[in-house]
Amino acid sequence: MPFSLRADSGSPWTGAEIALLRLQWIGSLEKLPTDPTNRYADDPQAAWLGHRLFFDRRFSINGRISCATCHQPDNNFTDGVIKGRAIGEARRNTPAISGIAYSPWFFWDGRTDSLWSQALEPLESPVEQGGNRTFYARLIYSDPVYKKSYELTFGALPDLSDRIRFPDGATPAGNIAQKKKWDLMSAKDRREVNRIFSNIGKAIAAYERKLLPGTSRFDRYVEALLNNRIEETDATMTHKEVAGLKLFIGKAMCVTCHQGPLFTNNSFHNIGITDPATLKPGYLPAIIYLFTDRPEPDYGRYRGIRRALKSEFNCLGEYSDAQEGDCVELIYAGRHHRATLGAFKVPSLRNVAQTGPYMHAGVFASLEEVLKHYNTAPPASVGRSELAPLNLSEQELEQLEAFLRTLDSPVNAETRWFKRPSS
Amino acid sequence: MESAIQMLYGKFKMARYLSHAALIVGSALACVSDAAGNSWQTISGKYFAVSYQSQTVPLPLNRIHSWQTTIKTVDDGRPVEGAVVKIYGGMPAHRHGLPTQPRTTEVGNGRYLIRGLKFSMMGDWEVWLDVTYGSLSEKLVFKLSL
Repeated sequence: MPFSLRADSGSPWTGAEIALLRLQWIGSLEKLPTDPTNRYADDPQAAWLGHRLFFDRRFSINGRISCATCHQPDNNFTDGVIKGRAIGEARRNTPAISGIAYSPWFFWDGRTDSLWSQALEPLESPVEQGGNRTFYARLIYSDPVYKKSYELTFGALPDLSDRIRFPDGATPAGNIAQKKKWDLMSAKDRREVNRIFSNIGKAIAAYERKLLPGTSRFDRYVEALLNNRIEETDATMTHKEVAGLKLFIGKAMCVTCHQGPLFTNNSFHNIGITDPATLKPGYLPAIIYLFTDRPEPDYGRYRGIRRALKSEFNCLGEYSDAQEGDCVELIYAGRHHRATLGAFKVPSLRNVAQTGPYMHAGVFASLEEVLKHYNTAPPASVGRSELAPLNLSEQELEQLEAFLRTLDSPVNAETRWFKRPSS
Repeated sequence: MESAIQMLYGKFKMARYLSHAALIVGSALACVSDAAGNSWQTISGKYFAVSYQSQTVPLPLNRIHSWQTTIKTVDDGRPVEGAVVKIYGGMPAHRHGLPTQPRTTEVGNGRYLIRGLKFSMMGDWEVWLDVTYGSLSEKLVFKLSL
């Protein structure tokens, strides 16, 4: 590929910059790697079932909420509100999920280490889908279509009609009564239910793996640039957008974290976002939280990694299909406060203009507000912000914003995966 | 209550880290790696000389990998066996630590394998080796650029 473009006619790019742009280009996105924790990850039957489960509102305690309630296909698989709204209000903003299968960590705080174990949490969260393990296992068992599909993929189901062995409302993740019911079940039956529950997650994950990012205007620009089609580059992005791109990979240093074709390094960083709905930690004793209805500060990855390490559904757990050697992300994950306190996952910037409000707490309504935050870099209220003020001019901020809008692209998947399944 | 304890603990650890940083400046020469990381890099302190080479070359961005290291005495170049090696580090310019918690295993004859290193961003990184052998203890720092 030519690297010395328009050297004689004042190319806007140096060879090193073009090499960097190539790394951000969708053409550099490697094929989706297999998921060693989920042997059904690329099983078409599992994806068929997962597609149905993703859209099925019966998969909630009130029969009104599905994954698609917040991850709306018409809305880039997010919901456009500050914090997700299902049975109640979620603690954080709903992330977009196209290309999420490439990530080693899930949720803003990385509290799960596989796509399938991520899918399980909202099912049991009282503010999201609000159900419990025996409820979901029985739902699969009692629907003839689901039962058949499940058994074809994962093997025979136990006799879940036995309500003495499998009581309604039993889960170790619920309230005291639910936990007690769970504890009264035999260890073998608990494992059976956990197996079904984890397979529900594995089916949903097999479906979500179909939702991949598509080609944006930025990608067409880079492709034309790499192939020396100069007129096409000029027609694809404006001078203002190109100037924004130059800032993105240069002076504004966005690319240090929003790096690679998904515009994320899938790592966790503290950029000093304070959720106004939580208390500031300050130096008050934690007992103060007992006397207020505001939740404690959001410690982000500091708590997330500890939860991932404890989870029975993690890479090293009984329900994972991985070998120990596949679990290096979990085994070596940093847990020190220097790397984790107040840190949240770097989101992909593909479709960023379409996926506001922004940040884990949805605190910014527009890209303009986001860029203003980076430009001024206020101190963090939890941990220490890694940002330094960018001190960009108004014009430069506008250029950056114009560039970010070139990352709009449709999700690259067959149209059937966007719709509620017909049967 | 847990939160307050964690915050206090965090402050204590931060103070410890700052003292580490001061020791490093005082006790060891820093070594800047080439970006490719495909040759042995050596750093000598007061007691120990440590060399490393990444098992994955060029040094990978955002991927967990391992380093082979050898530890020798500065005085007579003998391999150091049975040392306790702890790994810390981070990006001073961004005020954050390593994204992973690497672990060291001794291979023998002064050779140690560091597993679980990851550099999640482009830029300047530091990897701190805290080497303890008997009553001797020293902090050495590798500087590298990705």
